[in-house]
Amino acid sequence: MTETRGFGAVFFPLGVLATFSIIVIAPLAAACWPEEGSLWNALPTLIGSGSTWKLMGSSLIIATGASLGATLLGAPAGHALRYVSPRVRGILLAGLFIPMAAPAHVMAVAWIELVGHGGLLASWIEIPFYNRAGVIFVLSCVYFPIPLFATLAASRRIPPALEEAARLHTGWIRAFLGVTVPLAATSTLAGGICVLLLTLLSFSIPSLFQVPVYTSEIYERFSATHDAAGAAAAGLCLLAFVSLIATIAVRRLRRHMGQLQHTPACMEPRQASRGAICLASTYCLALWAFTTMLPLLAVAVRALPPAACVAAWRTARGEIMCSLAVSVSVATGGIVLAFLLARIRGGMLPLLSAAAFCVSGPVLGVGLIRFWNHDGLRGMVYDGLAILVVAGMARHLVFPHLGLSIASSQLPACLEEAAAVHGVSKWRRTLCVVLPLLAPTLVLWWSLLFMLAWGELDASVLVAPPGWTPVSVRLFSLMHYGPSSMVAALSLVSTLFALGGAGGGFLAYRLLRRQVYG
Amino acid sequence: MGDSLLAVEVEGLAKSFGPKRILHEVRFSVPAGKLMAITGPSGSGKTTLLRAVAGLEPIDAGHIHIGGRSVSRPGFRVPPEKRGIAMTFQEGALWPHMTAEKHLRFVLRAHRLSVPETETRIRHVLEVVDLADRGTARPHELSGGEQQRLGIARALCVDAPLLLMDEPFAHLDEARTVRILTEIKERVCAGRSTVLLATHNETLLDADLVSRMGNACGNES
Ligand SMILES: Nc1ncnc2c1ncn2[C@@H]1O[C@H](COP(=O)(O)OP(=O)(O)OP(=O)(O)O)[C@@H](O)[C@H]1O
Ligand SMILES: [Mg+2]
Repeated sequence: MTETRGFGAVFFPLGVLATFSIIVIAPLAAACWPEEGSLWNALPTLIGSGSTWKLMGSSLIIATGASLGATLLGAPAGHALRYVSPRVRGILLAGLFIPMAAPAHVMAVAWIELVGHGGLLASWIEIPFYNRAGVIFVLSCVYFPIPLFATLAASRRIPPALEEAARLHTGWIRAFLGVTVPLAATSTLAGGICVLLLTLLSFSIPSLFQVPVYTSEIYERFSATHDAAGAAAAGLCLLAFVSLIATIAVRRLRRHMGQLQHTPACMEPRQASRGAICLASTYCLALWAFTTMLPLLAVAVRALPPAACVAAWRTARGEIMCSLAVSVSVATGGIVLAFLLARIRGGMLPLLSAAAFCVSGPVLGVGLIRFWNHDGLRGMVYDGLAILVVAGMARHLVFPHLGLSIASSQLPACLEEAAAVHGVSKWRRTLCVVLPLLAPTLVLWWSLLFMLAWGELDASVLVAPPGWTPVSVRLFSLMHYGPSSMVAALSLVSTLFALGGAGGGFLAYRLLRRQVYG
Repeated sequence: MGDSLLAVEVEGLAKSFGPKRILHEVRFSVPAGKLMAITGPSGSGKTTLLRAVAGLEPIDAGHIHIGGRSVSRPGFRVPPEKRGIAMTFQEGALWPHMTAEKHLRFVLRAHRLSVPETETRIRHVLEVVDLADRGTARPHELSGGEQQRLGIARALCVDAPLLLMDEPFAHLDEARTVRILTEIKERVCAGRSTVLLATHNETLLDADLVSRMGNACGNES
């Protein structure tokens, strides 16, 4: 339907689309479409090669194992948190989120420092990490918060009366297993599938543990032979595979997701016996101590004496500053772009953002090199800090893009309409109605994007220009020489920054939410 | 078509949501300075009609003229902010982050009034709807009726030539309804406003024109 449209109404979406194209579509296209014809030669070779299927099998085993492990750890905690008081729940949730907030490669170092060879507890228990089981173990401990939050979100929406009705006829364990668990199961399963997809794409942990998987092989092959066509073919296969799993999952789960959509979330803790509450709290505390406290404590101990931390700060000050500048720019630029994209409501654009993430970091890195490594203006971007910002935005834009699209579609349309019918222009509506109402969500996504950008390694490791090395890349190269107090100290500093960003953002979110919605 | 004495002219209007036909061959005209009540059972399309006149819904057939200017026809729609209208919404549509006064100041600023004029209007309109002492309250601090009165105040303060009101008195007691209606009628009589008012209950209104929505939609005086 055509409407009378002003100059701004036409050129504003075009400007947003152009920015999106340069940042996301161009490197994605460059990654997936190398020299003419070469992709079509590379694809059959790749598909016909036995090692491709072996690597894909290995990735799939790791991803399935990690998603099962994460669900088994996280889902019970999601249910358990419904039985503790809101204040304790808040503290526990913040604690249980730490393994995901800290960069994944740092958590890998932490586990090695705890129970790896020569680790803090190695004399009692030593886990050989340099194999598939080790990777699955660490990935489960990193990603369990996803099924946890998914389960908690569903469990909070189950009306207490449903469980109470069952308890008139049976004990609480059977009521819980027969009513609550099945009702939340779809959400738990969705969380598990998210973990499956993320671990299928993960690169840093398998690479650190020297376990060959599909993504690490793309990186190795490109760094060794600069075979862009091979990387593109591998990336396309991964994208196709991930899209297939995601499509099947969405189709299957959507039918069941509606069950709890219209019941309001309940903040009050569920009624239960003292024993049950005690059990629930103990499990959450134990999970937090085991997956978060102990490994990070091991890093802290290894980083001692404090002089080592000071030395790490001195030697890596440039890298830390670089990471800080990149993360703040990625978070700010990403949020602005995601907000503008949500405003123009480009139907299929989130799918393109998702594709940029799903081709895997190394393949996107190859695309970034192919698109930006040219003379002129592009060369200036490629040779400086800007390429790291572009890499971070291209890789992680999908999260705020989807998040803000959903958040802005959930804002009641009548709020903007009420301004429009009273003569308020589109710009002022955006600035004075939509922006303040979305402000808490924007701040939350800003901090999540900061956290992701801080830990970004998969694409940055390929594009980091000389003189601009982020902490993650520096740590990654240091880790290949094995654990050391320098690695531990840098890991600690890196974790503190990531947690600072995430924590600060979350507090700002709470504050803004209260201010906006009372 | 473009008779300037007609504030609103709707001709052959049709609107469907998917396969569901809501408005069909709707036709009416309202001379400037009149109050028209739109009545009809729940679900008959009163809100949809007002939204179409406001430019919030595209239409499938027919055309709408406001003040002699063609504002809606299939494939063409003048945006709501350029129609010179004001509207109260059935669902309130209050901005949760603004106080009552800020609601009014925000819309008045779009009309480029001077600061003293803005403040005078805010005070007057809040008095009319009996919210003078609730100026600093935000929507969640107001009762259902107070929220509805704030919605009315927002629509009244801009002094628009065409006022669209969707069930404005649903939560109000009779005394307050009469008081607000008196103010509206004064504006109508002075020729400052034309009002289209959707309601279930037209008894208090004493409207100049009544349009009944139902199977067929037309207007009766
Ligand atoms: N956006 C929409 N999509 C689909 N159907 C809609 C939409 N808006 C309204 N309808 C349908 O159009 C019909 C008319 O709705 P409308 O709100 O105009 O009725 P109404 O006369 O204002 O009712 P009430 O007196 O209850 O307010 C209803 O059946 C409603 O379900
Ligand atoms: Mg209605």
